[in-house]
Amino acid sequence: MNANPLVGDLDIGLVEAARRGSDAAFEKIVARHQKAVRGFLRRLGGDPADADDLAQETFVAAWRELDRFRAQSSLRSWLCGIAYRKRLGQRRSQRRASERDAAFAAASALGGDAADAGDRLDLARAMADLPLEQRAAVSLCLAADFSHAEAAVALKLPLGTVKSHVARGRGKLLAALSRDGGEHDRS
Amino acid sequence: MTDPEIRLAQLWSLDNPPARDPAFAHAVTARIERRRLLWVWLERAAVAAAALAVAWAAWPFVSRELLGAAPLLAVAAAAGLAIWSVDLTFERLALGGYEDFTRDLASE
Repeated sequence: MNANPLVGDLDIGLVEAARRGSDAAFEKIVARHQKAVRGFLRRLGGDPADADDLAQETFVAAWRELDRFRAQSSLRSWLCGIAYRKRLGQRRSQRRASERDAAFAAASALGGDAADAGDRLDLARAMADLPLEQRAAVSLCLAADFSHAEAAVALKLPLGTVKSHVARGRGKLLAALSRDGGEHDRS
Repeated sequence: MTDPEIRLAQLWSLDNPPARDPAFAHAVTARIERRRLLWVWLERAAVAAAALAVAWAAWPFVSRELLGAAPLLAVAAAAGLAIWSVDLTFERLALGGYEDFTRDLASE
């Protein structure tokens, strides 16, 4: 019986099967959670292809470390935690400027209509201006449907810090979007 | 929700990857299988290195007998190498998951 309501029984079953060596079970884990992990890494900034590459490495690391999953949190927050730490490691070897360039390239490459492209670029810039920890909290709690508690587990931060990051980040993004939206309207 | 909040949610939804992406799942599987294969190779290389070290240490004591049996040993070594190669080749094909991949594609 699963004592933690955050962890789905299906995930628990899949993890147990994967630990016993079932490749099919691990493939199901990947299929169920790839959207959350890839979406999270994409929103942290940079080139979407690099984010997907890091997401693949995240799942390889998860496969290797599956025995460490203790079901104290949801599987997706455990996976996003691995993704975040991989992203932190990658960030140490990058400069902030290259991140902004990549965000610009990503927003440009994604296409869509002109209004979307302009707003996406504004959003990418505003996200790039947030500290990484704040960006991660915003990405999980606002862009995805993570609870503050899940995000705190994934990011290994106190619950209060996550709440404060989300509130501040949200305020900055909304301000940037309102301001830049006004500029787009005027132009 | 205010207008900027709605716009924010819309923009974020544009970044979402597809809910189902078999190509991504296969790419992850391929990476895992490559790591597995690497481990198999590393384990075998370690065993081979240990065997080599033992042979090197034992050589002064067994050299006369081994040189006498050299033709037989050469045949045995060649056969062993051939079996190992075949084993590795089939293992690699199985680990590559090519059959699973084509079956999945056919079923979609």
